[in-house]
Amino acid sequence: MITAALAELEEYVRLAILAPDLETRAKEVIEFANQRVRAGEQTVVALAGATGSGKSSLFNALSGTTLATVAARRPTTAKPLALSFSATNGPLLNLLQITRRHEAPPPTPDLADVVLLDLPDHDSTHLRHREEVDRLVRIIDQFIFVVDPQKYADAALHHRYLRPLAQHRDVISVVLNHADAATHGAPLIDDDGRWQSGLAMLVEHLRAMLQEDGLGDVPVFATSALTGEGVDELREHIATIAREKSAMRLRLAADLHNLARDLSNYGGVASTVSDADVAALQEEVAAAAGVPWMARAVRQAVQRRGAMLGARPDGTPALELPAHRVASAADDARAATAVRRFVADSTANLPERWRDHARSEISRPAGEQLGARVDAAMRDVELADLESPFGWGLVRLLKWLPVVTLAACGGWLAYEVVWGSDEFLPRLLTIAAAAFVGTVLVSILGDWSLRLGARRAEKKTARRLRAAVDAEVVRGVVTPVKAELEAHQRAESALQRMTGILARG
Amino acid sequence: MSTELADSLTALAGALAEVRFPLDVDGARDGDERAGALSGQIRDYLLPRAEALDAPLLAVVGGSTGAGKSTLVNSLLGRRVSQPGVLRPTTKSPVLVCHPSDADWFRSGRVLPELTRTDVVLPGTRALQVVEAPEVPAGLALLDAPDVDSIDDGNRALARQLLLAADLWLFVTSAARYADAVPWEFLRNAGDRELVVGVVINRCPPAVLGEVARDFARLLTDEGLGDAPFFAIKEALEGEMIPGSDVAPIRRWLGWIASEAGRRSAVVKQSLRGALRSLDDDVARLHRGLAEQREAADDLRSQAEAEFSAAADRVGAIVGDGSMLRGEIIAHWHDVVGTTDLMRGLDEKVASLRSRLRRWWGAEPKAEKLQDAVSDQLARVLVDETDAACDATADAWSRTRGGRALLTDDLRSPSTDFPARAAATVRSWQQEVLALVTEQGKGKRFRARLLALGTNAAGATLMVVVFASTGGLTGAEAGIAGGTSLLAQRLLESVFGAGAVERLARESRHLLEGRVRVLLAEESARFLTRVEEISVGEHVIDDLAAAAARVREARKNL
Repeated sequence: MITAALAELEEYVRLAILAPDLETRAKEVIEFANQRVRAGEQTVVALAGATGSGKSSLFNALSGTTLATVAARRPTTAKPLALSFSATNGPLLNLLQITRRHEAPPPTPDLADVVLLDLPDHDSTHLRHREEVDRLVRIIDQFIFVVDPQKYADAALHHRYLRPLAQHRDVISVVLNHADAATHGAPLIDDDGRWQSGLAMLVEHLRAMLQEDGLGDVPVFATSALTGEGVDELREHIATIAREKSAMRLRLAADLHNLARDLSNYGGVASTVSDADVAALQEEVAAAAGVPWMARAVRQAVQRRGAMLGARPDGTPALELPAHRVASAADDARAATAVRRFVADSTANLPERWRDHARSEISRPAGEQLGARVDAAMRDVELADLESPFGWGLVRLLKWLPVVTLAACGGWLAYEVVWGSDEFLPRLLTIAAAAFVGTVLVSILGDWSLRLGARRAEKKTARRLRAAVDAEVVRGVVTPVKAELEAHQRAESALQRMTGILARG
Repeated sequence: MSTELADSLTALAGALAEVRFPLDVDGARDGDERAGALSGQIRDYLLPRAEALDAPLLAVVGGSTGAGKSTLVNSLLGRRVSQPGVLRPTTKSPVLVCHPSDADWFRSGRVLPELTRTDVVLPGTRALQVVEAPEVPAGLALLDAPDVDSIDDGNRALARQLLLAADLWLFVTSAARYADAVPWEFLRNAGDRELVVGVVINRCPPAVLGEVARDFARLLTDEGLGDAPFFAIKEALEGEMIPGSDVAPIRRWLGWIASEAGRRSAVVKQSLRGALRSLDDDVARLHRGLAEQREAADDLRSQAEAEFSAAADRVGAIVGDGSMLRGEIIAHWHDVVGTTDLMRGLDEKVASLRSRLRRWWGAEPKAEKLQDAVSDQLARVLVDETDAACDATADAWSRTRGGRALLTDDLRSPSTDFPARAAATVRSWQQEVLALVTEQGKGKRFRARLLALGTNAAGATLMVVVFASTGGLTGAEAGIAGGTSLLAQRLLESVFGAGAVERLARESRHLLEGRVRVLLAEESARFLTRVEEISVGEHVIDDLAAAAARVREARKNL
């Protein structure tokens, strides 16, 4: 379960763009969890608590040793002490960075798989103690917080440790030590087998506070390290935990759960690129690159060439394509604005870091390079084959038709004058008139087809140039934005899968 | 003299009321808390004490939860006035015990004016219960304060407030607690203030009493409190009371202080002087905090200014370096040049009918189109660079906590009417350029020539010259733009003469840059006002320093 959740978390961290501190934390959690799983299934149980609450004496009572230093002077324990009830697991203690190591026979066989830790106090003037506890709190499998009737309501305990550990309630127990102080030396358990009334009230109050800390159902014990009362119950509790072998996994699961919650706060909303936005961007970039201008220039060139058709005896003049237009600063500005808006709008629902990333990795480079890329792509577009040679041939042929007809009419006239009758004139005149009308018609038709061809050439030009521009826009802007949105979505779903795995347990 | 002190403290309280730390930078929260604590201390203690130096002493019994403060107070009096308890934290509302003759002073609300007074126990309130007890020596009152370290936030805050209002502390800890970090913060603070403190280590197991007492005494000496009277009490209750023999030394010490007016006055003055001295330190910290606020605000401001000024520079560069002379503008320029028949000698028959006709049918409409292209293109450049400046400023602001708090999404792009204003700015500039040309063409010599070219065409030509005025054109740029601007320059020179053209171009460019800066300043103002709205005024800092200096002066006479 932990391994599967870790895999999803690793996937998330790989994809996500996180704030540096969050990323560091996530990586630390992953690394520690991996190492902890590898280090084996022993259960590390730590006694934590305030100075003077009797952690060390409780430690000795639980373990049946006298390893922990007990003294009236405050604070006593400076460095954490580890006691293994079987062969010392070196890698595990190395991972926890604990150097004071001891071994002892288990007081009961069930404790064989337990490593018992005595932690320094968390509230003394010795800052280093606090730092050591803060470090271990983040990695120990099972905590036993030792409190006493004097100190159980300290802000240092509740605000600094218990509240932040609310997610870890499965691996926390609380022990009210020095409970004999509350009963004024009387036995903790009265004759009815219940806690003595003063103690019961105290425990009730402690429970209410834990409830407020978000630790409502953690087990609470009362012990007297002095008389040994309650110690057996606590030991049995530890033995049960050790038997279940679940403390380590529960602890890691709680860590992952905590992290997942912080990461999902950071979440953002999954979104997609709208086709309308892409179309608008392409339109704007094409306009900035001068596609409509170029197409219009091509139409004019085609028309100019058509106008020259009849005038030149030496055949069809070559089509003079307009010179490529170099984009001005204003054109670049127009494209850059469009790109910036597109990227900002498309990534508006992503978390801030992702948006920053899109801005610096997509908007800015695209703003600088897209102009040149589009320009180069437009230069590569083939425009020389814009009209069919057939069309031009037909127009040329038609232009000659009236001339041929008139020449024929002339020949006929000569023939009739020399050899013919005198009835030819009306017919000849009819034919000549027809030829004239034909000439006019051909001219109109030619003009019309020329304009049609020019418009077609304009459309074709626009289409080809647009295809080139659109492809560049997609390559330089749309695809990277989509990739980022997709990475976000994949990261989020990895996180959801991880939460799901943890929830199923 | 003490009136001067009281007046100066009132002035300081007034100055403190203005102190705010609105920008979320490191230490801003501390600053707010410090300012609050300081005004509280002036109100609760410094001011009433400065006004009445001979008023009874207030001895506050403070310390950890569970150390037995209430038990100690009860035992000192020999009767139960404060409710001790097993459940932590116990004393929720403070209890003040004083001699009947002092009761009026403590009921009057001069000290701790914000606490409601009560004569009976009001559980669950923060009201100050005043108990008259003849057992207390006249001239000294004991105040049983809540704990300094329990989970109850209200208790901790009230304890802090009460301890700051004390003439004298009786600080209570226990064998289990004497090395706790939280109470030591208070003890150190007392040491810094040179406050008169008596330290009680309560609930010592009899077996280790000596060892614990020695260790605690050593800690006290290490922290500079070695001179403080130190009382160790063993854990052995008689009923609810500490045995009389154990509290006798404490009772004697308090009685000794209270018994003589001179000693009382010495304690009052020592504590007051110490508090006034430590006030200097607090004010200095507040001052630093305010300076940091101002620095942070300045940083935000200068980030915005730098980005927008860079944008103005970029616009300036684009306008001058010939990169405008491409695309649409150059196309329209070619149209203008094509119709004006430029290369013909302009000197002959310039005012002929033909030229007038051409004015209407030829160059002028085309020049107008060129003008439109210029305003359109230039406005686009302005919009883009402003957009980039907004984006970059927002980016810079979002990197600091303080900046992020001021940032809203609308700041990330220019205001909605900006494109329209940019276009208007360019058009006004064009009007100015035309006015310049007209002005230049007023002389007899020029009028005819200008008429021949057309004012619009001349103005447009001047803009083309402006667009390549920084020189240094290279490569292809020099080919197109250079050729274009050279032609335009020659054309204008043929109208106005060589020297005038250069001056006109320089002036036009100047005018444009001025307008661009004004336009961008309007945009950057959106950022700057955000900073302005939350900035702490200069006078706040000055007032604080002045008031603190006055207090410093007045305290010399104490």
